Amino acid sequence: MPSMLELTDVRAGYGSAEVLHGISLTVDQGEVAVILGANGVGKTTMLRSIAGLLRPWSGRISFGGKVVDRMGAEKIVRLGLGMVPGPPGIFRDMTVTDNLRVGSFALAKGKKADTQLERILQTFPILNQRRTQTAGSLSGGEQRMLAIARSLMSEPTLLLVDEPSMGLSPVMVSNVLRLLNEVRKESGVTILMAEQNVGALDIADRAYVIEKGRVAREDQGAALAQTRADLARAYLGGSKAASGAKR
Amino acid sequence: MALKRRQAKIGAAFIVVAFAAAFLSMTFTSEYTAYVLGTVVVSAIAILSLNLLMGYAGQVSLGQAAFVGIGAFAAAQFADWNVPFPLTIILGALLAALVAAIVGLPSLRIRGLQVAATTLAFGAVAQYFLFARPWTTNSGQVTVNRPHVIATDKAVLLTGLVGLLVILIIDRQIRHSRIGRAFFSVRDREDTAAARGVKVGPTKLQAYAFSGLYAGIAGGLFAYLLQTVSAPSFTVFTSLGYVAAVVIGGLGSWSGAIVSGAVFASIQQLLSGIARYVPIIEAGLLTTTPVLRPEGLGYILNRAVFIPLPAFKSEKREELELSRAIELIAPPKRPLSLSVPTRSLLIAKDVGVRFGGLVALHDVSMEVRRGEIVGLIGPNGAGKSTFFNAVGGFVKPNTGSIHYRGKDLLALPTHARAGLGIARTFQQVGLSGPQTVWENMMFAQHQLAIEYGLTSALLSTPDMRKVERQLQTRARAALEVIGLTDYTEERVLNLSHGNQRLAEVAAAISTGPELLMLDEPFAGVGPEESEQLAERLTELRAELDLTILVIEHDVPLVASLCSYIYCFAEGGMLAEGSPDEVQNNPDVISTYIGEPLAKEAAGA
Amino acid sequence: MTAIINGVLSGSAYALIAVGFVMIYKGSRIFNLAHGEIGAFGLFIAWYLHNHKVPVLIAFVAGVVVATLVAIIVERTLVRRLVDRSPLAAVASTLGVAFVLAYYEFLQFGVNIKTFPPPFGTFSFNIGNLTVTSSRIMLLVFAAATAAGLAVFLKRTKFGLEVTAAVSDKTLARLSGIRVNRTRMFVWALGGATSGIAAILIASVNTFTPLSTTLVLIRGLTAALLGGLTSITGAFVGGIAIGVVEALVTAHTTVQGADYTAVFVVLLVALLLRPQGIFGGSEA
Repeated sequence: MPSMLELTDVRAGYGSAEVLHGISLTVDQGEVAVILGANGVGKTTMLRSIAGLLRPWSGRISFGGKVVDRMGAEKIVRLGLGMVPGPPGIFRDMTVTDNLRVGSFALAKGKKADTQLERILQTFPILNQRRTQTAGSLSGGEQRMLAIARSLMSEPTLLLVDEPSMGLSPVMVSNVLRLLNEVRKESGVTILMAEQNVGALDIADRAYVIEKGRVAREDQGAALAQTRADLARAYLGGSKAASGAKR
Repeated sequence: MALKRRQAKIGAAFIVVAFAAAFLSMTFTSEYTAYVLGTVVVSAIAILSLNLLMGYAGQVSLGQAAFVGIGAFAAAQFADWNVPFPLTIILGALLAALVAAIVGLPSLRIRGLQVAATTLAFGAVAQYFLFARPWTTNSGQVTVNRPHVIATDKAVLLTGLVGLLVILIIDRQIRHSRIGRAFFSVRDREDTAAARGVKVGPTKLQAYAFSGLYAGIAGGLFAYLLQTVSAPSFTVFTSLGYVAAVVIGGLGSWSGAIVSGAVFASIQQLLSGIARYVPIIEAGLLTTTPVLRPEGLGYILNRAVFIPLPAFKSEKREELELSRAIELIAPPKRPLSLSVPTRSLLIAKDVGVRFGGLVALHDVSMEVRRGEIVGLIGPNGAGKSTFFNAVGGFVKPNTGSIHYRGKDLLALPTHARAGLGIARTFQQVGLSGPQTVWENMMFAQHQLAIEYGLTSALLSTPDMRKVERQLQTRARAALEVIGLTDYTEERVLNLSHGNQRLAEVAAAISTGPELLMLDEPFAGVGPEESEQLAERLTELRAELDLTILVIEHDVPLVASLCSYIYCFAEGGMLAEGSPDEVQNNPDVISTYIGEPLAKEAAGA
Repeated sequence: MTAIINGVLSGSAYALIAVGFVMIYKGSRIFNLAHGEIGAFGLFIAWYLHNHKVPVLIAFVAGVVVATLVAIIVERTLVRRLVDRSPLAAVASTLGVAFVLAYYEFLQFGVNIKTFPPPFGTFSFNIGNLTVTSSRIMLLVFAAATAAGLAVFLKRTKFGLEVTAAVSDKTLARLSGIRVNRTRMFVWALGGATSGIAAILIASVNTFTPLSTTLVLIRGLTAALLGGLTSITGAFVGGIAIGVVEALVTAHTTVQGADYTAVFVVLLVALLLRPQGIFGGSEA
């Protein structure tokens, strides 16, 4: 069975600056894969390239067996890809309901948008309560929920999520991750997340660590659990000797 | 610097030659040619007026002919009241300047495109009402009698050329002084202009006033040239023609503006064969220039004329030694007032900021001591930039206080905080993209330039020149200290992201600040460059006696750079302490990496 | 009273133009100064056809179709490239388009004042001592219908939602499967059509020349500003209001140009009291 998503030696960038220096990775169907890395290493660039918002300079991207690296986002989305962009990721001036309706434009023919709308609102009770509110008036966490809900409206087979935890409190982050995990279990959607927050590994089946536009490390399954603590320490700098005089 | 100097010299030479040729040739030309050239000169001045308003200050004006008309009608009326000759034009110009400033008032309250539509509407009112002068008995025409001294068309042309020369000089003075730099900042980065001490509202009105002044002079000359003044000379379409000339010439390029205006005006007058097709060609150029080549004719002039011609003298770039540079921009030693705890520069207490129902900051208290490098960390959206904005005056706290050197910051408006000794950089690079690094460096010190006034600027007084030289020295020094001298003439938007951030730091230190506030200076900068920048910042702190407050994400980087860290979360202060304390603080760890791992990592 | 009715009728011309202008602005963020001339181009074609024995109504339809096509061409060649640039670039460029069209008409058809017969017959009726011709009443009908239709269209249909989304956040719209360029093209096509209808009907009330429609556009702009630049209903109401103010002023004084000055004063006062326009909300 071909993998859901495969990147082969992808290079991409903006203007004359190359950001991705030959990325290769695979995500299998039904998996949750996490791309971990600090600010500026290329996580968002990677997701944008996969989603068709940015044309890669070279390399190949295939989604569900189809080669998509030359396709525009509008088309790829109709093939079953969904993306939750970085904050806000919503249409601020539209109501919650309208935001969701826009998400249904890429729904496969034959599916009814209204049915889907009700289903999604059931899954996100907070949004249901606020269905007539303007999206811009929601709190940060609710906006992220709305962004995810919007992308689920089209029943994607692959969901890209750009930093689901950004700007959220630890409690909200757990909620969001738990929600994504449940969605994956219920509908079988494959999820690829870009994250700074190592906590995302809690729900991951596979992790790629990106440094300076390259894959530095790949871990799967059981091995993942071992590395998590190491990663956490490396990420924060642990108790290395701190420089600078104490106050 | 080399290119600008060359441009200035060639521009000056060109003008001298052109004017000399004009004066000389007048002995040979006919009255009719003089008349035609006179209309070209009038157009050129009118177009320069719009070039200043739209090109320098970024204010769209679709009704410029109205100001020209006011100058014309006023001069005619003053002449009728027997006011002596050149005074009529000058008074008319002053009136036009006043009216222009009034018309510019809406720009203080409403947005750009709305202002454009308002100016268009005003132009229509001027054309159909003001100039039609329905309160008079004749059809609204005014006849102007030329005084003996300018009885011929040639004489009027001569006057016009003198007027054009004067305006070109004034224009040049504006461009090369803090007046022009203030205009450019309003055009390019209105949002951050106030941070440098620019009062945006008065600056806009000043631009309108100057624009009106130029236009009024054009109008006065027009009155004497045509000897009748009537509404059909100042229509909406005349205004739109000026817009075309300025855009085709390249917004902000005085040479481009004059050339495009002159070319189209003369072709129409002289080559009546193809004259019918000129307007449509001009219209086509107007359509395509903003899309294909926004710098317009000015670009062509630069490429074809200014750059290829050799400089008059070979330029030697002055080498500035690093130690000397550091000396030049180190801040003067300022004694702290005795009532303030001796080491604290910045004290914030219980600061709270709300945007409607959203709480961006609550109960934030912070202390920054002299000579420290203090870090602000925390997830995106936690309130770090909002705090910077509160200190800078872009956001008004609802509760709490912020004191700098014992002074209550919250009592001062944004532009007044610029001179206190605090400099900051912005999350999105706060420089003007289209301008060069050098131009940005000069503008960054705007607060220091406030020393000289408008008259000094226009007259290039020794005081003004002294201040400008100081600014230039400091700009050069700051670039040397940061290490960006190679990019002095580059446009900021052409620099790599890392260099843009460096340039912004250079701009910040050029003012000789005491407290440097950096908002994510490492964002988008690669790991090696980040390390270098961090090292440089530590060195600068010692060299320039700086205190630094830095917002950053990369925790290990901040830990190695700072001596004290504040961690924000959800608008509040989560933890504070030495890097070691903060890195091992369980709350901080869980904010960054989630609960279960927090326990693991802390336990390990 | 007659003055008010007169004002409503002449105001409907401004309203129709303003509504199309605001729709284009809402749907593409472009200040389309060519809005009048695009319709006028259709008008000239219609006039030309009619001069060559084509029946009025067919010439009218042909003119509207031509205006729609011109709008589409302008969108595809020019507007797409202007969308990411400064608003000034769009103002200058669309101004250029207006002049290109006007000067072409100038060269091709001459500068003389022309007339076009009312496309919907020459009936008329009287209200008091005011004679209302077919064209004037049709202008009101079209203005009201277009304003209502567009307002409903933008708020309640799927396409309207697409348009709002595309302008609000282009990236997010693309990620929702919206073909942003195509959506914008439709908006411009609609704009061209309304401009064509407006230009021909206005011409059939009075006379026309190259650039005369742009003079109406200037008043239409004032109406759009009054209404808040982002509200279609506001543009309609603004247009009618301007027409009424002008008519009232003209009824009470013969001072030339006083009508438009009064409108300008009203505009200034309104903007100073409420900078976002009477109907403008927090929509950017």
